[in-house]
Amino acid sequence: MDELTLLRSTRDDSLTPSPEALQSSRALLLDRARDLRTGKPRRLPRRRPMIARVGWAVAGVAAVTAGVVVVGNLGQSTPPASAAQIVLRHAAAETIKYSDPVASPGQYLHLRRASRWNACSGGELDVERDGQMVHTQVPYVCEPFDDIRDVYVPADPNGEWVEHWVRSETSDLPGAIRTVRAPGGKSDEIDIRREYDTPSGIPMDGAAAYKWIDDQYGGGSSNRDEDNFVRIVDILRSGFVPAPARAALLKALAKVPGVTATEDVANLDGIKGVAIGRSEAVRQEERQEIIIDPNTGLVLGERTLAGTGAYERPWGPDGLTGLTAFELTVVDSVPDLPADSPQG
Amino acid sequence: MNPDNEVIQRSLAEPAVFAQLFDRHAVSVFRYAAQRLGDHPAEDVMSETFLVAFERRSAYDQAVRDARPWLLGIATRLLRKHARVEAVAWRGMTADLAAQVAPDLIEQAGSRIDAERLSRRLGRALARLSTADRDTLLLYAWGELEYAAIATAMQVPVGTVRSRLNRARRILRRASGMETMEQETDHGRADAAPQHA
Repeated sequence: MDELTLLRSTRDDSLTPSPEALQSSRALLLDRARDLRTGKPRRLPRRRPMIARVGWAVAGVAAVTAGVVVVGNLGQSTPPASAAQIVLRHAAAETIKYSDPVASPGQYLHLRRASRWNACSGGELDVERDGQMVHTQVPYVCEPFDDIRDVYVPADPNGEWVEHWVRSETSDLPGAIRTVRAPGGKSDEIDIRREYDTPSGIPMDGAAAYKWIDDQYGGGSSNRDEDNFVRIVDILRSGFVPAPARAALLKALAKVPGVTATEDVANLDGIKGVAIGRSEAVRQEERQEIIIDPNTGLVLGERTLAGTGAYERPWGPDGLTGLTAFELTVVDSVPDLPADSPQG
Repeated sequence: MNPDNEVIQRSLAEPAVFAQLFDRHAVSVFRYAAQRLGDHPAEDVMSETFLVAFERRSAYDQAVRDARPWLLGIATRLLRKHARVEAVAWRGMTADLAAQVAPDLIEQAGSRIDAERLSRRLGRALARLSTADRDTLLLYAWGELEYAAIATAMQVPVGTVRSRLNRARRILRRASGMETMEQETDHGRADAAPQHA
């Protein structure tokens, strides 16, 4: 025994943070993650001139019946929610009629989620200088990168699930390729299902689904309406939500105050749909949208637009900082996949 | 379970995934900070550590699977902002430290001094160490990091870790009255890996 052993013996393994501290710290971290994920500007806005654009037209029932949707105006301060509501209700009605793809024995459901996000670094950071932490401002740099995930779910859900992930390189990190496989989608080491499971208990009625979402609001930096919107989109993004639940969630989305619609928005694959979203006043009008096919209710992808703060430098038109594409198909087999990268 | 480096890399595309790192290491970071500062400020350090880590995750060395050294390194730097609190905590912690010293270790120390006196001596010795030596020592003793991991955490060469630990040990040895008990034959660990790091 030496003095280090003696000192180590004084280590107190019973010290544990309070549940409240753990919970609030984790929530704070997730808030920060969500802010980044949605491109929330975290500095004072640098206002850009408001550009007058095409105004809203009032959607009539006839127009909806014909599958025509209302054109939204991102720059306008008070868009009428009713247009988005009409689109969503119509899409929900069509969703009910839609038959979800089903894999026959031996086949796989194949969900492809292709995303182009902004990788940003810098900003206000604590950095070490001469052994001291100094709060400083590092130039904020953004660049787009691609993230493509393919998941193959066997017809027998206890069969082998396969997830293949390809990430393009950025100036900070090399690209990565990784494939994981797990019987039943889950093992001690891997949980593929986590990202794709549909939560249980979604009410099949729109109003009840909205209440179900609203009851789960847990506070944080997002206001109730923003948070409800984000959590509905989170579920729809998972990709395997059955049509009845999807219809209920679209109806619930229509009940979120401040939701507006923009037509003819292309996803990352160029497929056009209607973008349903909210502009968040507290985030310098940053806007997160989900793109749906109004005639089938299928989720086509997502789009994120930087707000007037322009803190996160857009890489696309209209302040585009994020664009994705979802596609759900049935395939006969899992294709040959490239080997993992060294860090994959 | 995916290794930490994979979680961090994944969090670049899906920031919320970073919460997995919190779930894995929050208690460890808290425990290390609480031992040095006490419970309340340690909760702040724990929270701030993960926010700083999240902001810096793009700079994480993807070759390192275990993120705990990195996190404890961040926590250690944040602790320096609490130097005055820590100094007070050292004075108040003597009794707590004494309670943690196992009786058999006192016995091994020759029963020449009781636990409280020993703890008081250790506390005073720790307070006298330079910041860098103390951080290194406590990352080893309470953070349970190996030499190479401390080097990662402190962003210094392994040789620097060794020299800091040796210096700190000499001071501790004198303070604990163990100077004549043992020569430097091991480093308080059964495994010798750190010495070859």
